[in-house]
Amino acid sequence: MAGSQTHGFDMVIEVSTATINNLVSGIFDNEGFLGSLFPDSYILERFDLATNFNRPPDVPASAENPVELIASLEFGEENTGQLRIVAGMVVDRSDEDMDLVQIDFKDHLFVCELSIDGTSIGLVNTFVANRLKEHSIPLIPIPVNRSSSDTLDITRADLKIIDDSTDEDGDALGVMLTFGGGTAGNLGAFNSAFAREGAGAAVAINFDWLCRNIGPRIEESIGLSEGAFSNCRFRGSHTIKDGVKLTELDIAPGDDNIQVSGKVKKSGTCYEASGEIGARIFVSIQAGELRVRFETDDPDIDVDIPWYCYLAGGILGALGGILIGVISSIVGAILIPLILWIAQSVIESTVSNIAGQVTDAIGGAGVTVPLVGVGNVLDRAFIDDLTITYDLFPEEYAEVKSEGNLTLRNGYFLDLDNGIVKSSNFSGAEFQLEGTHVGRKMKTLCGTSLGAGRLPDFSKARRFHLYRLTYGEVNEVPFDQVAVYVDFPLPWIEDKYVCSRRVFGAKTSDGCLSLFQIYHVDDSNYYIRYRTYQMESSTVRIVGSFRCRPAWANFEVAEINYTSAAELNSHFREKVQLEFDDKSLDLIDKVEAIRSERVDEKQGLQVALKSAIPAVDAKLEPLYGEALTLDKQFLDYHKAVGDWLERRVPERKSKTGHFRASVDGDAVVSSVNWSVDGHGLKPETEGEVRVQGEVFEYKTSGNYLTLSSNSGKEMEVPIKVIVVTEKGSVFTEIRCVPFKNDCGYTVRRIPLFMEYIEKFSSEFGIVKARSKKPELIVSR
Amino acid sequence: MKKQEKKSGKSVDNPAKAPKETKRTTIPGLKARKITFKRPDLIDAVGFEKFSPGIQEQLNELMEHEKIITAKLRNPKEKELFVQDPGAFLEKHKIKVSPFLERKMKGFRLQEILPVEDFMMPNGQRLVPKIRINIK
Repeated sequence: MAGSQTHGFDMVIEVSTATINNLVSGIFDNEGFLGSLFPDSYILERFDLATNFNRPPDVPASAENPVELIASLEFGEENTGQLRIVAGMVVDRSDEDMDLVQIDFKDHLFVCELSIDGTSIGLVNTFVANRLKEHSIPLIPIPVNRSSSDTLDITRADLKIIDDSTDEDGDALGVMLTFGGGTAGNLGAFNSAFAREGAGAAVAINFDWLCRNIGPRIEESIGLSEGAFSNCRFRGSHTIKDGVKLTELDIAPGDDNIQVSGKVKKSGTCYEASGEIGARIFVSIQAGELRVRFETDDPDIDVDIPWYCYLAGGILGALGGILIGVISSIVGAILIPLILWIAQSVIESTVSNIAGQVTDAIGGAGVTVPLVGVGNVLDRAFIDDLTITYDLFPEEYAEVKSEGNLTLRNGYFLDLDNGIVKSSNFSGAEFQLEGTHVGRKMKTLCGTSLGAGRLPDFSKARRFHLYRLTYGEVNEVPFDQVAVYVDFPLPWIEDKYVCSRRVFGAKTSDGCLSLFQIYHVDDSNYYIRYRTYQMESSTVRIVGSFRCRPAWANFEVAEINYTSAAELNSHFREKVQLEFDDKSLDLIDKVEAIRSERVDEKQGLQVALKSAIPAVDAKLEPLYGEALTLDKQFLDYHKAVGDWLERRVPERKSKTGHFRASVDGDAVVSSVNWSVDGHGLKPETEGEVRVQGEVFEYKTSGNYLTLSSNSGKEMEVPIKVIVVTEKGSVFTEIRCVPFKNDCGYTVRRIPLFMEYIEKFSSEFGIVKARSKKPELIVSR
Repeated sequence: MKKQEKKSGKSVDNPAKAPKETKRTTIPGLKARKITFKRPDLIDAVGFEKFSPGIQEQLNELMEHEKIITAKLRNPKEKELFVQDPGAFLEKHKIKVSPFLERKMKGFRLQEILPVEDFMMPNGQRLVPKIRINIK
């Protein structure tokens, strides 16, 4: 039911506990943040973090939105410990252009308990608490335009820790957004998480807001007067084409879909006709794209004919012609393109743009650089309010020593520190690929230890995940953890080796943490992708860049492009096929299970595999198994008309860059000095500095430098930082940062309805098929 | 093509002149009766002028029974009969028509003259229009 999940807010972002735990883990690990909280005598080697949104009993009743962080710690000299922190999650509104969701240790630290080897040490505890109070952890920056009345501008973000009291216990961080023209909803009503279907993050869109958004665009595109389609409802009489008048149009939320219905009228000599059509629109993510599909009801045509026209027309043979003309002009020429236009050009474009906007917001585009960026991919979309789910993960933050893809031949040796493969053993080699065929194993060599435990997907695995593994207990990767050999051809798997794509971790001979994945196997080789992190050492980097402020409301359209339906359909087909091929490789567990049950008959295994493959969409048949179902998936999202794209250029605003001197390792910084284009900037000051003749405003604050300018000139800004540590070491870093003038972005455009009809006629047209049994009702 | 359009235009503007044009195509010297159309809108709608003045007149005469016919059509069963078998409807209510029209009405099959085409959507769905005819 519309609004039931958003409780009156225009949009709600929910992020699961597990996702927040990953983000905070990344932040704790970045630049040794967690380790820097402890006195010098405690060298933190690794940690494992657990985040809890259940309200702890020992926080004051007045504490709002507490989050509990429990870090298991391992220090050098085999000391272990536990740090328990309870702090408040707040929205920082100090930036006029941004609401920043953060864990606030500065003013909302409720609990800080440290125990080492089971003992609480008061002094150390106080030390850690005081260090902690110097920080807060920025999680989600939301760009806002507080005074805007535009429906696309976020005016305010609120938050609530949702301590889900339902059986699902789907605790989550809820970020509630209000857009221009809207009012904040009921924050207190969020007592359970909404349906995220297991996703790390989800965005629910209030249908009323969607209506506020698409209403004016539909009015403009059809040519209705302003306000004629308010609340997604039109009643009246508006000529569209060839005397066909639109009389009713409704878009409303259904249980798991958006319902659209339209009614048109046309009259001529001897007849008055009206046509009505309804459809249900479903939103989903297919092959990484937001797509809609629809189910359309058979159209109802009412034809009023005077008796004498019927008689004369029938007898003289003109009646059929009249009816064919009327039905074609109403159904084929108007109602069908109207439904398609609303589904594929209005709803799909709007929701796709919103998804992009939220993605940018979560990712922190255009705002202060968070300590660790957030990567995301669209996962699923469904309607109950309209919900889009995301897979959120921390972006790579740790310095990488070596990474890439390589081929390891049977019997050869591999060095993960440098990405070197040789036929004979050499100093620095970590593994040898021993054996042949299914007897192969990757055996660790001297100085290397293999990690035991599970890691996430290769693209989402970060350095902190490697801390959780237990090293040295195993010394080889056997073949059955890498792949399964399928010794007969399956129709949909060409390779004889089906890879598990499992990700492994190791400590290299140089003492670095590394992760690798065998993504392909043949009779002679393992094909490996790997990433090895740099060992902690004291280095300095300048982190940050100039970014454009998001401008969803105030912009000019610089360019409009059209991509034909044929091109889109072909591209979609390729992407779905790729996804299909990729997913077919994820069957390892099923294959293994079946093998262990010794299903020997070919036919038996094929049937078992088909039944074991999960349905991609509950409403569809399983994706695999039959080529027909793939074809059905293509067809469901087949487009009759292409997409319009517009490139928007926002109104010029000053462009700001936030830079930070990032000091890796355990160095304690004594002083930081910034200079820009050769001009030294005094610490802790604000002022102006000229770069290539252009005026930049600056502010220095400890490790941080903020630079902003209204200049339209494209250039590279040379920034230099000199960091002096307490031990007297001096680190210098120089970086040229691009200051580009192009803040444009591209979004889907809703075409005018007549534009759409023109393309509909030329690219698709009115397609008819012979009917077996026309349905006729005589009105009583 | 242009000629037809012009002709059609004239008929709409002044229906009474249409038979005069028809007269030119008939046997010279044969005097056509002047028809006063009770329903001029028929002329354009069903291509009335394609037919001989005799048939036009026969149809025109049917209009004289309008009161009876419209009264009977208020009954849904009668309306159904009228739509499916207009000949039987007229016979039932003792409305005489010429043998030519009677023959034409007997050959009338509504299902055969209905549009027999469905519409295909881009997703392959076939839409079958439901046609509701309301005789007024």
